Amino acid sequence: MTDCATYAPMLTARAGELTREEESRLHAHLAGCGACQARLADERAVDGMLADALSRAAARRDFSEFSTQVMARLPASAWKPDPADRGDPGAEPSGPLGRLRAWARHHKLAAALAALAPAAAAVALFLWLERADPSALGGMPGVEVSSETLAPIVLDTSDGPMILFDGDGEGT
Amino acid sequence: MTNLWKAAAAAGALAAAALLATPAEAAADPGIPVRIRVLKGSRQGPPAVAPQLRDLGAQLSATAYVRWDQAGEVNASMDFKKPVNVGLPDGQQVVVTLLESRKDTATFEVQVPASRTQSRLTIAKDKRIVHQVTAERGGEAYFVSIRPWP
Amino acid sequence: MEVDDLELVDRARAGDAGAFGTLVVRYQRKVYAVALGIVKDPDLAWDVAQDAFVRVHQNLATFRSDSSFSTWVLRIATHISIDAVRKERRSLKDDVADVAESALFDGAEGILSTALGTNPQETALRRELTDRITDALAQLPEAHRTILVLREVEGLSYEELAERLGIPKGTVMSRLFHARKKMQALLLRYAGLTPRPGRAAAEDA
Repeated sequence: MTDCATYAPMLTARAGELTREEESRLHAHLAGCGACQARLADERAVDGMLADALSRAAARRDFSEFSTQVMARLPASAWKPDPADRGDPGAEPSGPLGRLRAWARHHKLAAALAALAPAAAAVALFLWLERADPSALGGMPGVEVSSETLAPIVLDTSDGPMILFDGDGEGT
Repeated sequence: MTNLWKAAAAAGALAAAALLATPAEAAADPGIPVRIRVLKGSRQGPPAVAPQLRDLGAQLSATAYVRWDQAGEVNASMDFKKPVNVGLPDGQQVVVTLLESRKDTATFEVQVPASRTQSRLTIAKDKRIVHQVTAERGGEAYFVSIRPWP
Repeated sequence: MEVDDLELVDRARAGDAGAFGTLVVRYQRKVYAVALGIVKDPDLAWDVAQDAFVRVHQNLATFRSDSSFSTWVLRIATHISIDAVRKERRSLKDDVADVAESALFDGAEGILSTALGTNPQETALRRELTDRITDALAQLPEAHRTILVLREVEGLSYEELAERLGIPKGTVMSRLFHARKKMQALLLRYAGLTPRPGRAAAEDA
């Protein structure tokens, strides 16, 4: 068996993966072996290409439904009431929708919520409410909404922000 | 795939052959691809989400509208600060403008002149904006969805 | 990312759906990339990736916070991926501690690095080969795909590979060598480059 058969597989070792003995023998072999030097150059040339290609394949794919689909496969009973939910003593039983319900009581959204409960519970959307307040850009996603004739409601869902308008058009 | 290189003689030099033309990297592009769809939400009718809107299903189901249809689509390569007009079936206009984009986020402005509504939203690459653009009348309302890098 | 993984795990364990959802979104593409490398088919990789997160959720209680969530979810993903292609498994004839001589003296050494050098024309080749390298990976037998993905995408060390795959370190190294050799031979073919059998080395500078 040639020396190359021993040393070629060591060419892609990382720091600490070879013993000192192996490392020094590898260096000695490399000093005199053009073929292994060329092999080392080849390895360096394609270093990271595979990881890059698979990451790109993942980046190209539309993952917008992925987490929703995962959550839909988990039992709704796994999720507990929102621990951060505080509110007035008369607040609705909590849950991801708890704060939404509490807020909506003051904003005549009861009709909308009736549709929310079964669909959203099954999907376990990560859902919270934000007022239409200016938010800083650049860090977390920001939302600013202003309207002269309509009352905007901002929902931030795991798929992205939604802007709805409270009330109906008749009677503005 | 095009033929690329051919091995040369023993000297090891390589001769160039036809090269693949490569598209410009996204970072150098002045604008970004954006998919804008016009949606109609309705309280009436059998609950149904049109097949082409299923990717928005999670967001749409968070509303009181049970029936969703697509009423228009614009696929644009949006340049910064150049407004794109999106027409609604009732003749109204919605104006969408790309204000800014960074590596993983894009900032849009949505204007609805008829109601003097203006929104500015920054979203991450993976997300979609769903924005109501008409007040509800007769149990129906129009929305636009905006998705950068669809 | 603002909130660290271990805190999200704690919150998810306590029943916080949003925390778990955040973990999914944070790791979904990485998990998919590993699965894709091993199972080849994108739709199967999608299902495997989902299975991995479901399994993670089922085992939240057993996760120990002295290890990393990322390692844990990828380990689960690998396990499910290998299982998904188990019918494909067959023993490798060149899976021995010694490297085959024929793999060494095929005259291919140095061609790829010369072609992929540093000048701009050669960058086009790099892009071309990056586009094709997943095709090359798909043509390798399962054991070679797996060890390459674990090494290159998950970043496992020889020791971790030995442990994960249940083989000695020497076998890890030779299997990796043969996997890379095959991969590079395919890349040479895609690039229209042919090795010169019998050539000892690229002697010139």
